[in-house]
Amino acid sequence: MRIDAEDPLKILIAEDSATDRLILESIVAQAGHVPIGVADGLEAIAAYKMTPPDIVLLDVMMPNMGGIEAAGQIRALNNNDFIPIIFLTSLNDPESLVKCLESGGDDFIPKPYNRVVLQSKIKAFGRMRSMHQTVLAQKEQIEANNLHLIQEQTVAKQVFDKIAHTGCLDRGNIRHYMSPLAVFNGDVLVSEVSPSGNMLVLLGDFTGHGLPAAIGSMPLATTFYGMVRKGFSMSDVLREINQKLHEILPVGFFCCAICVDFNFKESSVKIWNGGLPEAFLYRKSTEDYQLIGSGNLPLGVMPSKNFTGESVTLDLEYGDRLFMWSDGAFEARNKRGEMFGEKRLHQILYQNKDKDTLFDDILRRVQQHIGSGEKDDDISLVEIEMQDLDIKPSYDISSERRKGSLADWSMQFNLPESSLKGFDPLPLLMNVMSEVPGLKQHRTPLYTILAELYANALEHGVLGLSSSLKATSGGFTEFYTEKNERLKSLTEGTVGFTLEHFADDKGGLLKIRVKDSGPGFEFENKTIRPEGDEVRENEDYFGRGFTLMNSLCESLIVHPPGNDIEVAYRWSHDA
Amino acid sequence: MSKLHAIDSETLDSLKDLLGENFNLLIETYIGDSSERMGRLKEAIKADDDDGVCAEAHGIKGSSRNIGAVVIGDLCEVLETQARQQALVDKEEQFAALEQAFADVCEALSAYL
Repeated sequence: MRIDAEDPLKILIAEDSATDRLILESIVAQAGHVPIGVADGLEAIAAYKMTPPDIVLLDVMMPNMGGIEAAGQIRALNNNDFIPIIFLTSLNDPESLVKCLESGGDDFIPKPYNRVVLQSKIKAFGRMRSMHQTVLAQKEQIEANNLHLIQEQTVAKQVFDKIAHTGCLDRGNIRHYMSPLAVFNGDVLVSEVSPSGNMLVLLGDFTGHGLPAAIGSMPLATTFYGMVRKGFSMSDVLREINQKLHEILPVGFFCCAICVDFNFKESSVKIWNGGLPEAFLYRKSTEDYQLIGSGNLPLGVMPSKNFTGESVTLDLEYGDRLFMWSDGAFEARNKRGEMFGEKRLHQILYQNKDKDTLFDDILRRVQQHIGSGEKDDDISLVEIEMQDLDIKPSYDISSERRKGSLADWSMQFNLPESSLKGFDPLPLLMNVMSEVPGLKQHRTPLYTILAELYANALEHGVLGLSSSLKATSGGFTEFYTEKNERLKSLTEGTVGFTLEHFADDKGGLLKIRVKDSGPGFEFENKTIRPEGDEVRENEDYFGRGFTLMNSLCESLIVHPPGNDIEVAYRWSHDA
Repeated sequence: MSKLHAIDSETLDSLKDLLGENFNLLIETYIGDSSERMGRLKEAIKADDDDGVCAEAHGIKGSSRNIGAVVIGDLCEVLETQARQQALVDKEEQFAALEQAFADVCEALSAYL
């Protein structure tokens, strides 16, 4: 009977008796393996070094070097690979058998040899060896992967540190603690001074851990710094980050965040909390905390059109302090797996209210709780104090403004009848204007002005509708029915926009001129100033919304014959 | 044929089957190797060398049992055990019996060739 071997194994046989060796070699060969016969321990070691076998069969008692010593030396030659050593022995006292195993043996085969038993053992050990080799290969693969991962994380951390640590975290009124590998815990802290001297700080906590969590930090940080430096408002910054994250991150990945905008000139703070634990605002005057909980969905959850970016505005006094943290602070576990807990954190806050050491106390207590375990902490803690500060951005504002952003510009935009019929030019124009850093904050008045000017040009100028229609009851319906009909049958007409922007240190001046192909409304060419009393209060004038525009603009000029209106809008960053 | 009881014919048949054309080599190797060991064992007994007696008896026992020479195996085991305990009794007589058994086995094996 032949026992089939899947793969021929090289089997080293050390046996001093030539008769026994011959029998063993025959048994091994019959099973389809390759025997390598030697006569003692020394020869066995030499043969082992020359051709590493898959299994070693060792006689215990041999001249020159016995099997037990040979087994010890063979084991010493190789630590990783599993090469089974089977002793051939007629000894059967427990002491001798134990000695065999202690020297590195894995099993015994009793003498005289039983062919079937020996072949079965070879087969079993062959299987074990191949299993071990698979495990070993996988272990090496895992080690290689792990090394690779660590290298990747190192690079990612270097990149992130370059992006994230360019802000204003080193200002004296900010204290912060982030775990050294915070970016891979999904925590991120960025801060920057806006051109108007406000300090914006964002603490975020991405869902998940590792690289997936770290990946969102990059666009968050670059968007934050880029936009804050150009003077965009907190809500614009958050809206943009939300949109970016919503686009980039897979479903289920988002960023819980708290963003604050400290205005040191007016002693106030705007706070937006989306999904992070309540922030604690310590009021020096009342010696108590005001809690600012989450009133928004985390960043990256909602599509842009549903994102509101509404924040809470609070007046502050010098010495008021704001504490913010991610949930890592109270989810920190000790060795028994017990969480630090929100309750314990709040207790420390209330027991150490006006202590300057509060920040360090919290940190120390959380770290004490975790203990000296190997586990990395996951704490992100920030304290910001309202102080009498006049902070200036550390970067060059004018260069930041010049860098890839609109400053001085002009454009002309004409719509012939085919476009007038269905196209709404306002979003496009608003888009262009919002490319000017800071001007986006003036979106509402600008939209009102543009909408009025365009409505006038289209409805009264091109379509020749009379605003007196709107004055009667039910007149609006009639007006818009008439407007739609005239638009449909419109064969000729244009509306042209001319926009000019002049940037200055404080903000800029935007001139908007809208001219239509209509006959005008015989309004005299005059400049109307908000305080001016030359305003002719006729019906037409009101109907065309000039009063409203007048209140918003620095000047309003109607060029004859009244189909050409020009306004000038002055704006500043502080507004 | 009277000496055939000195050897287990079943073991020998299965070895013949296993070794095929190498069977003759096995027999020759056994006889040659064992003869040398018998010589060394005789020396060791004369010299009162217990370790030598133990090692040689152990060697002869192993290969003899492997080829089915059970009587030799048993005789060697007694010598080996006594020598290990340094308590050899009637060693010359024991060796004489072993020599007789070895001669019987060799004769029996020759019949197999």
